[in-house]
Amino acid sequence: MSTPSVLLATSFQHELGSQAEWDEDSTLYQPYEVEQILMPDNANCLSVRVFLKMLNLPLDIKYKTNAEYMSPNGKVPFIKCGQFVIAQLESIIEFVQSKNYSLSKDLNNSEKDEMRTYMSSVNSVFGNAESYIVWCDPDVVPITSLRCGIVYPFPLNHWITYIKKRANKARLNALGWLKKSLDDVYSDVEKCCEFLSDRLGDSLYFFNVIEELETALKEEYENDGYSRTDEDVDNITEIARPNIWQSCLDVNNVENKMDIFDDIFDLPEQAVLREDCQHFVSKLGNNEEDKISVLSDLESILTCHCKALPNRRKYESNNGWIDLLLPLITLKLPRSCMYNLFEAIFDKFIPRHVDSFHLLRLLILYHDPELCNFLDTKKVTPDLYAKLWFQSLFASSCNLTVILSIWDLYFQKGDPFFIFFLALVIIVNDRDLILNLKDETKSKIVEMISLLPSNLTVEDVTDFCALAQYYDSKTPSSFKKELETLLFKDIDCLDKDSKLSQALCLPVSVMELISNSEERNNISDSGEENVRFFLIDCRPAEQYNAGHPPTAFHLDCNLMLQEPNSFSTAVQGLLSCQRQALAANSKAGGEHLCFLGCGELLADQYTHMVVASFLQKHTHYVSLLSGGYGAFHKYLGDSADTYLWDHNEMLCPVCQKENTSSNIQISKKTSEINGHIEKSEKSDIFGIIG
Amino acid sequence: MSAPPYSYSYIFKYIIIGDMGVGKSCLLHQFTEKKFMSDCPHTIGVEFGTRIIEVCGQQIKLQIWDTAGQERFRAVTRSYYRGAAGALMVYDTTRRSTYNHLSSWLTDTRNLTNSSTVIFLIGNKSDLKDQRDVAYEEAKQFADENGLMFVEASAKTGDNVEEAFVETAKKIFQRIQDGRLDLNATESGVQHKPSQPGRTTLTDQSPKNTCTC
Repeated sequence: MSTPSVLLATSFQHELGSQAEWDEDSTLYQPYEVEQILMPDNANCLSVRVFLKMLNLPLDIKYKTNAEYMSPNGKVPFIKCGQFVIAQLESIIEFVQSKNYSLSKDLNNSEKDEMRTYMSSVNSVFGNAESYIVWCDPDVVPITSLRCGIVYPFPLNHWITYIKKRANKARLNALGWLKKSLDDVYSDVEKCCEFLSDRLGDSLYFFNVIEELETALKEEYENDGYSRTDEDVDNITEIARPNIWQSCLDVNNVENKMDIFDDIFDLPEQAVLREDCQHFVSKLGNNEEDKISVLSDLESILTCHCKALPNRRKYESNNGWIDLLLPLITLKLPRSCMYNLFEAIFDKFIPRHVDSFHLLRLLILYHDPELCNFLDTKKVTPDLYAKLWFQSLFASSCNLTVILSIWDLYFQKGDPFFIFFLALVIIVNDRDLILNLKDETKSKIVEMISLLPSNLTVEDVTDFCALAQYYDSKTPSSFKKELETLLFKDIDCLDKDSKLSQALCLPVSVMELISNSEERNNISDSGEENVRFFLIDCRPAEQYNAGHPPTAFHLDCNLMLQEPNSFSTAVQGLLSCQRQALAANSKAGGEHLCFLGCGELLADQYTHMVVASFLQKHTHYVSLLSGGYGAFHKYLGDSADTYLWDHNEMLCPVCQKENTSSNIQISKKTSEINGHIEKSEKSDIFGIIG
Repeated sequence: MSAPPYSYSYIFKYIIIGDMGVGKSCLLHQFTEKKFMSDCPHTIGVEFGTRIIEVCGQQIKLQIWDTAGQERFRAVTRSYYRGAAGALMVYDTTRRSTYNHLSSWLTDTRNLTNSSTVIFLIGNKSDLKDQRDVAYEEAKQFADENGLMFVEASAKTGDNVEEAFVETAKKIFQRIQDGRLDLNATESGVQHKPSQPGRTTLTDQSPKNTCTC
């Protein structure tokens, strides 16, 4: 906005002729979103991100507490691209244009002018309104001060806030905004929104490309903590929502899939379906005419959905489909668009395999073993309370405004596994309440838990999702890769039970363990904390001594049987080792315990017992390396000898097995006795009880 | 025989199996601690307890593996069957479904243990007389048909709990003496205390036919 920065960019332009390519390693620096950033800055950061994203330019985002002091002109965000550091949207657009990337090159001149007009009016109205609310609304100023100073020690935090407040107020005063009341500001914003809404009319976009403006506004609304203070932005959200959802779910350019529908309503369960739709519509507050059209939409979409696959899906009462459609009805889209959205959500986000419940249980166990144990004792399994949550993506359990707002975030995030963390947060959040139901019956507990999401309010949504995000970041992620096909893609194996149901605790793949420890070698100063493992090798001592992962600590499991007292001393020693490693920020340190066995069910019975004993003591963050040492060794291949420590090919059980053929006969004999166990070992990572 | 408290000649490995909630952990707790756990949490995977008893003049350390009854842990618990000298198969006398599942537990046990493993059937919760759902005679007949030892017990009152564990040990000991149980086999579930010499001591230490069991 300020002149110098534009001049800076112009001067760059002359230098840049020679360097035409966008640097793949470009980085954007900005303050922390959740704790620190203020609304106007956040809007600026998001518009830069959206702009670059729309150009498909790769960008790394780094969060820095002192981003504004790193920036060349004191404004955030700024990007580092090759050897250039450029701050603020306008300069960045100029810079990128000099490399021949542009969003507006398909627009004619009058459209360009029009767009400039809109952008400048949006900038001046929204930008100033944001500033006004952040610095002058008495309800918001305390939050602003807190966020503004949060990264600084006393008394600097007060000082910085004071300086910024004075500067911003001086600017608003110069623009004549300081004289306005809060209502005046709201009405300005409303006028601007109307203006945009008129321009939009019935078309999907402001201009023939996806216009960055609405997306930026939208994200800005979603991501700032102040959304509730500016209710008029709601209008924009509602206007933009259908487009946002359609872009996020990638159905903008999908042909009308309902073409295949023959308009014949002849499902065996048609009567039930119709009755449920009628019942549902009768509860809506619309007028009669609307109701009939909604009813017809509902039944057509669901019937078409059933017929869409050659082997036909079956509708059942309360399977969540109708609930899933309610938020879509509010978008007031044509039937075919609604259908495409419904199909996209269903395909991408609804877990359909029974293992999804086992996964939720394992996640609860990982983060709150005590709660998980309590629920297991009460025989309250996740399928009893979370079924509708999963089937309807929470639509059946939350009120409509809440679900719209959750879905806004959800579709932008696009991670189908996010629902597990939302569910986890809902349960863990009320753990004390649940643990207090010690004397209640199973059905009472199930009822109580299944109703928990209905307590959410719109104000909670941002926090709720941020918490889920936090839990996600504190969980090993290899299960996602292993399960994505099973839970979200493969329709054919609906009844096939994977070994997840039998897993003792959350499995971690060898790849995650290794890549995780390598990432730590070049620890970035980004402050982004990912899962760090403390690896515990539970194999017999002679096997450990013949080769082990470099960061593995040894725990002799045989002690547990033979000398329980020495065993608990050993565990204590190990845990204090863990604390020291953590304190020293060592490569081997980590708060997530990952146990390593041999990788064979029979040989690992002591390992499993040790893992069980940690879980019984309600230790959280307990995981088991899938495939154990065998898989680790195999993954390393030829580099095993250099990577492993103390590796001795003559003694290492894996090397020996490869060399000795007599072992094969023994294992054949074992497989005859334990055919089913052996079989399960081969199948996948969960086969080896994780 | 006045053996010091922590010296023993043999270790016998037991497993306890049966449906969820039949009282497996409570039986183990009653046997090792002589106490009833009224608020017993559900077992994760497998737990473990030991006690030294005297059988036919020999100190024997019982190493008892208490498994989770839940289907979800079947794959884990199956690995513990191997090398068990004794298997205590438990059902709940007040819940018929737990009795009906016995044949599947028995199949698992027979498939996964060796032929010399002693299987003992326990009908738990015999104190809840007015809730009885499985008649003693019926279970007795099932046990006889399948060659199992059988008793009704109560982990709450302690009734017959000691007997079940000790009778199993006696039977195992008898099989050792008969030579039906080969101590050198890796999966017999019986081992000499490491400090003691090998098999020969058995014949030296335990004079033949003096056992009263």
